[in-house]
Amino acid sequence: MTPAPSTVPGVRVGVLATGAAAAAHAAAWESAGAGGVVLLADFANRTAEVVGVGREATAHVAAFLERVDLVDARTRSKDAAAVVTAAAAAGRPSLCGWGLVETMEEAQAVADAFADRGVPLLAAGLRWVPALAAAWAAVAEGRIGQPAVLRLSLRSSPPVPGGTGKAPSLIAEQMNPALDFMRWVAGPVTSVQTVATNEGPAFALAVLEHGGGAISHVEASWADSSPQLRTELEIAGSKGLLTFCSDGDELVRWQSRRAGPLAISAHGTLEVAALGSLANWAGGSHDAGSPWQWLDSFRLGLAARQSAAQPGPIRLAASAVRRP
Amino acid sequence: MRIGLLGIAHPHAINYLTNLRVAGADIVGIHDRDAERGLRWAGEHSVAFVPEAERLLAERLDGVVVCSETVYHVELVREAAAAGVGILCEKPLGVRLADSQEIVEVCSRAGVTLMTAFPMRFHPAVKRVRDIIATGGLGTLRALTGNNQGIIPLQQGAWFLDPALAGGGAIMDHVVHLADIFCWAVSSPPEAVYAVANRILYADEAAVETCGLMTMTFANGVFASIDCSWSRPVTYPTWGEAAFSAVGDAGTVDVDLTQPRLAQYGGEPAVSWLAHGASINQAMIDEFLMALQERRAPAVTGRDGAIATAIAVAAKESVARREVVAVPALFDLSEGAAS
Repeated sequence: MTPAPSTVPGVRVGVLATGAAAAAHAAAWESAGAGGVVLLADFANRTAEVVGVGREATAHVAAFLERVDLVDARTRSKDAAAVVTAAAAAGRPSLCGWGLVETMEEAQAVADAFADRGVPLLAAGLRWVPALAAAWAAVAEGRIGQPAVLRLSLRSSPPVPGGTGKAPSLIAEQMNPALDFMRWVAGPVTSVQTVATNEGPAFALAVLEHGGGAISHVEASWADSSPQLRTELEIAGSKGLLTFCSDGDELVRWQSRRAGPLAISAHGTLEVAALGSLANWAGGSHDAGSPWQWLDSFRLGLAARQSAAQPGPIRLAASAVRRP
Repeated sequence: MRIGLLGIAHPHAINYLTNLRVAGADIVGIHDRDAERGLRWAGEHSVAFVPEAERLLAERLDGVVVCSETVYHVELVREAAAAGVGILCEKPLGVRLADSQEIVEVCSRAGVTLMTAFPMRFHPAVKRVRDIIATGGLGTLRALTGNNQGIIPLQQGAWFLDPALAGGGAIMDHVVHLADIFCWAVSSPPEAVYAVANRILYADEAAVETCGLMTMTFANGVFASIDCSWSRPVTYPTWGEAAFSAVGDAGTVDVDLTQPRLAQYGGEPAVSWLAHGASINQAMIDEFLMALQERRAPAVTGRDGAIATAIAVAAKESVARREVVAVPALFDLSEGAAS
């Protein structure tokens, strides 16, 4: 593994500022030392107005892309797919989540836009979190032998405070990065079965079969009361076991008599992911961010959503994705 | 109370013997179909060995603990029930659904106590979580997810790896504990199961599945998942894991039975988590003896064991068919406690 830098000097990052999450993303990039954060903001949107306070912003896509080196398109927006397609045309690498588009056809169009121009499409997933990237590397190096059974849990409160969220959104936004990580570690997925809530808090469980024989369990939850994303990973292989839990990332525990116990993390999850993605991008390691991997993971997330709406598993062919 | 052990193949037999002695039971003797193994075990633990189960059962016993290989549970329970002796049966009840049903039915017909060995039910944290759910502390319950992984039982009982004797591998061994707790917590019949499995781990030693994952749904719409894998390396600091989470409209609750951990570094093995606090096996044995003494149904019944076994059997079938499998409706859960 290439050691991650402690900051991201000089890189100008453009953030699609269309929701509350954009504020957290912008702050994470700033904290990670980005050379500047520019918002693409529709100021008719009240949230964007709040996020934009004190930050450079524009409502025009061309002007936005002129001012940035990298686009962060992890937030949902009805125009996000068009913006990243424009980013691809302008040669701007983009960090894309899986809530960007709804259908396989739309996802294929986005992937094609990047692939056709040779512009990196960075899958905005857990593979950028250093501990998880190290777990992937440990597996790739054969430290635990052949992966047999994997578990990954992502839990937080709903993205909109006071709401519950809906399972399809949870699967697209929270489970899809986990599915991408499992596919990255254990190889192509041949079946997915998902169970999810229809009422109450958004919560979903998925069971995967991988082509190499491994099986995976993924939990995605917006049922917690804390907005801090809790990540728990376990990979059991023929020669050993890897475990990780973000519960242990509090470097400082502050017992305040006024505010009660306060845990202070070294970095927030978004900031860690921002650092990791930039470190890999700056280091020229674009393989984990190819448009085809992003597209394969979108297809997996789509299958997970479809499975949640029916009793049985969804079978996946080796790949339905056009390769370069 | 006069107690006998029918079968000592299961590694829990030694724990239960200790628990019975602590509870003040009179251990009349043990029987095992493997006389050589039984004699050696009896000698090591200072108990009488009785070559025939029938002879041990004729010793005016109040109860027996069945710890044989799973496939022999049904015939030993049949004999004990015919002798009018109360039974604590190791899990899973049988290797087949029909065995489990027969175990419950023969005890019911004979009017003898039948308890299933589900010690996790007696953990204070598990009871607390069940109370939280039952009293509406989580609001409407929506989902449960749990993991009960372990070290593969290569050393203590190679028969666990023989499908004819154990009925399967990790699925038969480890699904039942959490399946039982989930049924207890949900109070609604399990309806369907989907499971996947492999034997990548210990592929050379095991002819059964060593890893398994399953989801299940209940009649009231609650869903759950269980990881039953033998995925802990033999060098793991303890026997395995048992943890679960419950999600409701008003909150979530998590329980991890291996916490808090008292760790030892150095020695053999190099890292160990030492057991501490009250023994759940002891609590289970105490309940069995009390139920016998008070001539009442135990806190964990044979029906509970049969339902959990039905879920494990359905999971195995799901792996084989690669589709969702219905769990047969064995009992009306609203009937209340019985054998």
